[in-house]
Amino acid sequence: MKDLTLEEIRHKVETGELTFVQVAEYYLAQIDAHADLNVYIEVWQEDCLAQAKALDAKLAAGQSLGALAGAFISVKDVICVAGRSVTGGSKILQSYKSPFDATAIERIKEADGILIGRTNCDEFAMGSDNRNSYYGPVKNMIGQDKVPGGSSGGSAVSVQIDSCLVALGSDTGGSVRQPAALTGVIGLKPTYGRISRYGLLAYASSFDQIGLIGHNASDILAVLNVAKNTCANDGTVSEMSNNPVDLEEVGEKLKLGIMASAFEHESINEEIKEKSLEFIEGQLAVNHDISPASFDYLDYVIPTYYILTSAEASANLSRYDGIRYGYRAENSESLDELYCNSRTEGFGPEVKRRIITGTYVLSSGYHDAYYKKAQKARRFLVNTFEALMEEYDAIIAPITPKLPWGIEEEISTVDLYLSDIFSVLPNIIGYPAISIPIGHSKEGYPIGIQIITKSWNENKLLKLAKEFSLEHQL
Amino acid sequence: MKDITIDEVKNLERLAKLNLSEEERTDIVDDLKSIVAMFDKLEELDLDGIEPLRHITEVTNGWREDEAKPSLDIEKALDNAPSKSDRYFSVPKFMHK
Repeated sequence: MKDLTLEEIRHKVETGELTFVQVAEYYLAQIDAHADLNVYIEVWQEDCLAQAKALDAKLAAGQSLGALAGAFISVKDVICVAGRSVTGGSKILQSYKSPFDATAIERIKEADGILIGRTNCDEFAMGSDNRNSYYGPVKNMIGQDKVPGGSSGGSAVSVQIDSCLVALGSDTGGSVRQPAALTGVIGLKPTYGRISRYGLLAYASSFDQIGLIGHNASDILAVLNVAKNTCANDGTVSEMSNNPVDLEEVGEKLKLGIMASAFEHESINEEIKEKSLEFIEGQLAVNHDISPASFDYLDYVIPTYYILTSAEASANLSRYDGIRYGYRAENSESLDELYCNSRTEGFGPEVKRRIITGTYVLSSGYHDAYYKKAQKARRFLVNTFEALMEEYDAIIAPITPKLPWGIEEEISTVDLYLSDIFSVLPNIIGYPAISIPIGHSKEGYPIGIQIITKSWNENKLLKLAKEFSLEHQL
Repeated sequence: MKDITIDEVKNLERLAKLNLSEEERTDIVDDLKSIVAMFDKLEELDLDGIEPLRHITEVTNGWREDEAKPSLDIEKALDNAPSKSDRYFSVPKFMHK
């Protein structure tokens, strides 16, 4: 099914070549066939088939269909669907069922999109390889001993195994783009404030954004245009988000800046560097103006990102206290003990690490030295990158310095944090960015490249993705 | 590298309402030392005179009419409670004579 865009699927259904039920059955069979990859925490098989059947009936009765009829969508376990469990990949939310739909989910449902299941992820979206899930690691289809990236590892692999048209993930520092790169699919982080965060479990609220993963840029575009727009329940969604994302508005020839400091960075894998430069010179340069773009502050993005996100996480996760919902530890003598025991037993090691780190940078004596300094660094990085963007339509950079690593491989906490070096910048600034597949390493592991542009210019990213994504050429 | 002590981490646990095991605590002390050393990289930047950035969006106040609307009903809100009593969340007794 992955060779077909939503439009093509719709055409086949409307001409009687396929039914929506058959499409649903195909995806459900893919989920079964790849159950060993630990992608889905829950599959909504019955509802999915019933809704597909209802859509077939609607079509037969000559009723009009919504924009997303035929779009089967997987949902990362951090996005609320009414009446369904959502756990953030955490023990602490094991028993939690959402009483409401996230805004993005509500809009997808209204447009006749069908939700197929809930995908595995790093606990509360904290991680870069999907090894921090209470449900165990997700495996990369390319090699079962390899990680798929994270934190939206399940989302990326749900697309990789062709079990849905588009996956809904979340991207706080690369969590949609990096796993997309490691699994050979397209991953878009929209502009901060493009899609409402209402119903997205909060990790770091000034960075979090719902993101989309798919095989085709046009499918991502279709879902984005339904999910975006202002929302009464999220005041940070800008009026600008109401403008349609239209690829027709993008010129033929774009001015692209190549972030040389990133491709020359000491941490980058040689094969990724080689393939990227080959792609830039052999393909991008053919139809577009390319020139080196100088950005000398890459080594400051990780400290800035981890100080601010840990601080925000420590505050956001204080809501999990065992009182109103979620896990409650037994045998607590006092209220304080109940809080402490519930949180200690409910959270996994990485979440505790970030809460402690966030508490440290916010604590008296360190607040100015770390938290406030990082807020200043954030403004400095925003100003510097905005000035750079004045000269370009988009910036080209790597998305990750690494090829998929081993599920059993030991990596230190700081080394893993540092591997986010190329992906966190758009989140620090609020800019949209996309990862597109451009080839494979000698051993066959997918390699992606990142395109970053100004706020509200997702159309440039999707146009370039359409033009160059390896998937598109299949 | 900044020294971070066991006692400091114990204090952070108290603030964050966590209660780590001895082993977890030792691990976190080590991790925190290297994480904070990585953070110290920011000292190289000259940030004098730069205002801290607190909001990443240009959106300011979103005004709306102050209208009463239905909210989550009590039954539904209590559905997720680990322990409830009648129409209330129940917690261990925390006031003693």
